[in-house]
Amino acid sequence: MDWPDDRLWFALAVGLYGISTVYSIFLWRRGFQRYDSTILVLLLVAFLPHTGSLITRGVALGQIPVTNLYEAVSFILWVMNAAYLVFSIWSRLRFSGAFISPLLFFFGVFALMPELDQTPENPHFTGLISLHATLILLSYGAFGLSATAGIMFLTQEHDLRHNKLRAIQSLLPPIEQLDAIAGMMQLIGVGLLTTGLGTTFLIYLNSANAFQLDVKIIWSAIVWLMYLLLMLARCRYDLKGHRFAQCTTLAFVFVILTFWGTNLMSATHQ
Amino acid sequence: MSLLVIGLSHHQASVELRERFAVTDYQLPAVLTEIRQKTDVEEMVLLSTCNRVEIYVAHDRPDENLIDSLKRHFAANRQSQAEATAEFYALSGRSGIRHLFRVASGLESMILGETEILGQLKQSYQVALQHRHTGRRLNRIFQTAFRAAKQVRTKTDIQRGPCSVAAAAVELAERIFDNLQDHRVMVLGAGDTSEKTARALLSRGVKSIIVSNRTYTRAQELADELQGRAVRFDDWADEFSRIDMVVSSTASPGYFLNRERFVELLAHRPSRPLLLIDIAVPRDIDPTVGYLENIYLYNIDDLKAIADYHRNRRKQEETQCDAIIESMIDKLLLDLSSRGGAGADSSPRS
Repeated sequence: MDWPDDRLWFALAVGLYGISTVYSIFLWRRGFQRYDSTILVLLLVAFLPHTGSLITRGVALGQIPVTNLYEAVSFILWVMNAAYLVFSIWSRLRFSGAFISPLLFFFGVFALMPELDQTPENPHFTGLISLHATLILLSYGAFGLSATAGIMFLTQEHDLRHNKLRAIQSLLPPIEQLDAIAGMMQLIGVGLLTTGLGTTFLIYLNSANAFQLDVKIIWSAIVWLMYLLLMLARCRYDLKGHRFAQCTTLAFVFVILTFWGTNLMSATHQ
Repeated sequence: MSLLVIGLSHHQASVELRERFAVTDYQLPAVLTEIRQKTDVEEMVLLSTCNRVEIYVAHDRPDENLIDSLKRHFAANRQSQAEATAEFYALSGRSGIRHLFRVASGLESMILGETEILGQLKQSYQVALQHRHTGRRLNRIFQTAFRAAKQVRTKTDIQRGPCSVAAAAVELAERIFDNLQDHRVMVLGAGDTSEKTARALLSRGVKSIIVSNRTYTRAQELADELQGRAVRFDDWADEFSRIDMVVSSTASPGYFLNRERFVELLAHRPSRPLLLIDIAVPRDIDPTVGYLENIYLYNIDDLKAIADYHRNRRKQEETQCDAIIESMIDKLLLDLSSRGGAGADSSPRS
């Protein structure tokens, strides 16, 4: 029997993310009242075929598999799941799986669309280009986790203000901790994105091609500026709590909604 | 063999009576030795807390003789009149074991499901064990009681949720702040409930407590008790930028903290959550303050509703707890009878 295709491994992982999403809805309705390891187990099990799919594709390509949209999205989702598994060491952060699962599932299904998995004209990246793509995709994973902490903050804060009983019963982390996590993940994301974008200049220095300003580069600069301003506002103007949670969530929604379009519009990055 | 329990508790005995029979930790080994010698029972554990005084005995004699003997000698030991022992209850066999398991699980406590009693029971058992007042049978029964309490705690919600205003305030604080050790509390008005709330927060390790009261000497007294600091009532606003929680219970006839005053105070405060516990009636804090960003405002009714809900919920859990306990008793009696010691008084379930 042939070794299953990497897309099949990924599809299996997405299926498990789907089950985890359904279970998340159940936990949301129950108000996160009891420690529950079901989501942790599901995401841990899904991590294995997901890792398998990236390794299989990476071995076939001979490099980190970030050469097209399918691979890029799969890589971001893998980073988010891996980070969740690390965070789940702290029992009160285990519920973040219920917030991450829908993201993993819906973007996983999206990534599985065959049109996104096109073989690029020149799929062989230099080490520098691989590093560039990997750092930037890692930063999106960090922004995704910041947004997840932001959504958890808004949920818990809403309950504390309006539904006091549910806030007491809920085992979500304290809002102060969620705010700190959202800020920390955003700081990490900005660091990774700055470094990733910084490698662009090294790529052009080592290449015979002249620098071309395209949609993706402009978009990346906007995203970088947006997150940098958020970080500055947090450090300099005390942007914390409710407003920061809203901002980090909206910023990530912007990234997710525009990521695909700008990628497809960019000849260099397609 | 049967387990016999005699004792008195908050359910039927007044505090005056309970304190006459109370045994301190220091006295416990000597009391155990004396009563065992005089009643000639093989195994005995004595539990003495502020809510109950109970003697657990494993014996092979007819209950009636032993009950009288235990009551008489215990009363004599505590230098109490014999007629006071009329308040004592006596439970034997399965009922006695059930009682022990319920005590261990907090089902006989004043606050249903509280956990402190388990620690006290373990300590009493440990003293009896160390001084060789227990044997194979009581060891088995007590170990199973501790396991039953653990099962009740993990498989039901009997211990979940705050059951008092002070506990509800602490729970809310823990939902907002990452670590209470880094946070400061201000108590405005030195009333009884605010004192209890401050004490509850202090027990969870809040960094410091500032007390302010219209009568400064009263503020100083409370601050001393809470190992905090007193400030004059005119100066409390100066501390506002450094505090994270306010427990307010002044005797003000209306809102002494309105929205405008708060906006003014918040302007000098870094952006971080502020928990306001307004337990005064009439209320001290204008409810519209709760709409401000970073402000979490709860009044006495909010806290009472939380406490009432959890008390009722614990009550509902009691049936499930009893089912766990009955199943553990069945296993224990089977185990005791198979070992020949015979929980032998395996009277039917009632």
